[in-house]
Order: sequence, then C-alpha cells, then structure tokens
Amino acid sequence: MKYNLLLFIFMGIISCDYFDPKTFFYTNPVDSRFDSNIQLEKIKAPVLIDENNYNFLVISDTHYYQTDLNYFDSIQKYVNEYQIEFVVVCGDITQAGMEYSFQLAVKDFQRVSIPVYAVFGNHDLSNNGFSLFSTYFGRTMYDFSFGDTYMVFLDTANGILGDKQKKWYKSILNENKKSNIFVFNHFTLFDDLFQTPTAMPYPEETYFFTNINDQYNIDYFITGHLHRFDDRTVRDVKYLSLAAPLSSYGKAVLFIVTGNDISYQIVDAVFDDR
Amino acid sequence: MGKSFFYILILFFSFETLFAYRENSIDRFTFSKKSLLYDFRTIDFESYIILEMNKGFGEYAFGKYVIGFEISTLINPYYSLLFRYDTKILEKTSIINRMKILPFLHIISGYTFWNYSEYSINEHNLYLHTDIRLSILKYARISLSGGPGVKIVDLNTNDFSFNYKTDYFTQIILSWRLSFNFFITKYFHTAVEISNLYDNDQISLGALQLESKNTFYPSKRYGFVLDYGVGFAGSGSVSGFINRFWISFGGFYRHEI
Repeated sequence: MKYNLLLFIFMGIISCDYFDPKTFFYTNPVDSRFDSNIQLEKIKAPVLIDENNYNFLVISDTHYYQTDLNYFDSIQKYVNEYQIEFVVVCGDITQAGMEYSFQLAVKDFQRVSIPVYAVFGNHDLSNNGFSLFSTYFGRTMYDFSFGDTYMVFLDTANGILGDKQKKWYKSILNENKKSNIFVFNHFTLFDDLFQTPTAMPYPEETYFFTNINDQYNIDYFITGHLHRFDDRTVRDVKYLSLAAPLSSYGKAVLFIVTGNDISYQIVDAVFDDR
Repeated sequence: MGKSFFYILILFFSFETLFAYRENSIDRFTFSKKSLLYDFRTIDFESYIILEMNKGFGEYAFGKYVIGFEISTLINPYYSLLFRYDTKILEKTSIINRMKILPFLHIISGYTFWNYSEYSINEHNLYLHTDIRLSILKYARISLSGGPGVKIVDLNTNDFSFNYKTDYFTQIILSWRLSFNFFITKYFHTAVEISNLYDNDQISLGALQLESKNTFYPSKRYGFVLDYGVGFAGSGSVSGFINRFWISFGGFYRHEI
C-alpha cells in the first residue's frame, strides 16, 4: 500500500509540469547560455522624457503558470501617480518555464503603457525555459545606459554566474563611465542565519560580487528569489531583495532617481487590488 | 580591535573543544583503604589533533589561489573498567577492561580559515560533526559524517568596523560527507568522497562534489595529502554542472593528546 502511495506521488511529480524534476539533475549551463545570448538582438534602453530624473518600479517572482494573474492592470493604475517610466521583473516570471506561462506573462506585461524588462530566474529555466524566454523577451544577460545611468541584467538562473559572464561583467563595469549603476540579478547573494539553497550556492561568487560591486561603485544590486524583503549595505553597496507579489511586505519597490541622488520607497499598494 | 577580539574568541573556543571532554580516569578514582572496588564511572577519551595546511592550485573555475588552514580534533570515547587492589603494602590500580563505547562513532570538531586576499574577504568555519565509521573489510572502511557548522565571513578585511550584515555575516550550515576509504599499505590510504562541501572544505549547502583524497604517511605523526576532484553547483544540489576541478597538495602534522 505504501509503495503504491509512493508510486502515485512519483507519477504525480513526473506527469505534472508545475514542477520539473529533471532540473535537479540537469539544466542548460550558464556558459552555453552566454554563447547563445551573443547571437540575440541587443535590448534597447527605455526612452525617457528626462534621462537624469526618472522613477522606475521593480517587482519579482511573479510565477505565472496557467492562470492570468493580472498584476499589471494594478500597476497601470499607479503609473501616473508614481510617474513610473519602466518596470523591471526580477526573475521567476513563470512557474516552470512553460510556453503558455510565458504567453500569459507577455499578455499581462502588455497591460502597461511603459516598457517591462525581464530578468531570467531559476523557475524560468525549467523545461525548455531558456529558448522560450529568448523568444519572448530576448537576451537573458544584457546591459544598457541612458543619461547618467547604467543598468546591468545578469543571468544566474542556475545559481551560478559562470566564468564567461563573470569576465563579461568585469569588462562592462570597467568600460562604464556612468555614475548611477543598477544591477539586477535573480539569486540573492546573502542568505538568512540558517543557510538554505536560496542564496547563490557558490560562496566564491558571492565574494567576487561583494568585491567587484564595491570596486566599481555599484549603487544598487537588486534581486528576488527569497520571496521576502531584505535590505542591507555591504561595502557601501546597497543589496535589495524583493518579495513576491502575494507576500505581505516589500513586493514592489519604486526607485526615484534625481540626478545622482537615488532613493527608493516600498509601494506595496500597487498590488492592493490583488 | 573588536573584530580581532572576535577572532581570538573563535580560536579560543575551537581549542577549548579539544579539552572539554577529556577526563582522567585515575584522578576520578575514589580512594578507599582496605577495599576492593570497581569503579564504573570512569570514562576516558581518545582524542588527537590534526593540524593541516593546504594550498590549492589549478582551480579550473576561477584560476586563483586560496590559502588557509584547518585545525580539527577527533574524539572517540572509551569506557574503562578499573580494578583497584589496595593493601598496606601495595597500592595498585589497573585497567582490567578498556573498550570503546561506540567504536563506530567519532566526533569531529574543527575550525577552518580561508583567506580570499583577492576579494579582501576572510572566512571562518567552526564545525561539529559526528562521523560513523563502518569497517567492512580489513582494508576498507565506509564513513558517513555530517553535522552543523557555523560560517563567519568578514566582508572587508581592510575595514575594522564590526556591524552584523554590513561588515560580517554568520550562517549555520548543515553538511554531510560519504567516504569510501581504502587502506592499501601502511604508508598510503586513499578515499573516494562525495559531499556537499566545496573544494577547499568550505562548509556550504546546495552543492555536490566528488573527490579523491590520497594520504601518505611516512611517519605516524606527519604526512602529505594529495586531493583532487570535481564540483557541481546549481540551484538544486546537482542541477548545475561541473564548474570546477581542482588539485591540491598539503601536509599535516598529527599530535595525539
């Protein structure tokens, strides 16, 4: 009887696309994704009225699956009030990288009148996630600049930065001349007191980030993945981790850039309708 | 100053564990004239310190050097049954039976320090592991060890301020290691290990590595270790891929207390 139950659970896991068990054994390596990214079209910077004074919104971990979650209808209501010029979704856009989930996400993103930039997360990598993400959103690792701002979007969907992306990150920061620097990444660098698999699993990469972010004066390193809000400053770099839209606190953060002065405020109200 | 004090405190407690459980059975013996008695209370401990210095090279993923050291102690309790025969002429205490309470169970406590000079970061690890050893043949042994560890990371070695999360952070980590040991000759022992540790024995979760550890014993006290292996990293334990390969060579000095 108990073996039948175990078999039933096992069959349930492998037949359901909500969770992709093979990701525990194999996922598309980050270095090979780096090579694929080069062949994709560059992602354009948003066109802003004032490139040095603007606001943008960051949310994370939307986890679209089979239902239309309709987050962006709520956000659209606040676009004028908060003068939001673009939105960044900090990874885990879909639950298991299924095509219908990506289609739902794109449909929802189109409900706002402003551009939406996507970060590639570990859930997006499941199944055939990388190729679908590339089809719907383009590159998974990219950068752009406007005014005095430089933005970098990293791909750590495996939890790893990888050798090629590490070199690329170092080289683009070295070439950068802008002073307001934002980096978006799905995996958090720092975990809770009790370590869980939610932070970047290779400590050396965490130390690499800690050092290089300090060296190149990154202003904000923004992540998701934890599904809870965390805010800390290490070596004068601010590390912000966002909660998921259905969490209680820290699920939407509005950044206000006024010249070289950057501040943020939590605007969870944008999801109050949810 | 505060940070240095903290490090001294860690070192003190790591050394303190070496002696915490050690008792001298003879000292505890209750003296009684004209009597013949058995004392069942006495427990002695076998323990020894392993001082190990390791320097890694040939790091595939990062091509950089990390330098550090490890101090560990292994404790395995003995149960000693004492027999004391005492007359006015002769006082004698002898051990009539001495056996390990749980011969397969060892307790390993230790401290590991790693210096990432390139990133100005230091890492301190304290751990307390239980090690279950099963000797299946005279020349082979399986050992499963695991337990909690505390990692303390100094995020900026150039700055002496001491604020939690900003200048340092701590983490409690559970780690495990399954080891297949082969005692080929008196002077050489090889082990194949699978664990969630990292190449330089940094305790961490969410990783898997396979390594071969070869130990050479020219003497009982000191020896050399040749260690090589591959590591996987990813969001699940093995969902990543082989992202590092390393070879390290180190020496150790073993002092029995």
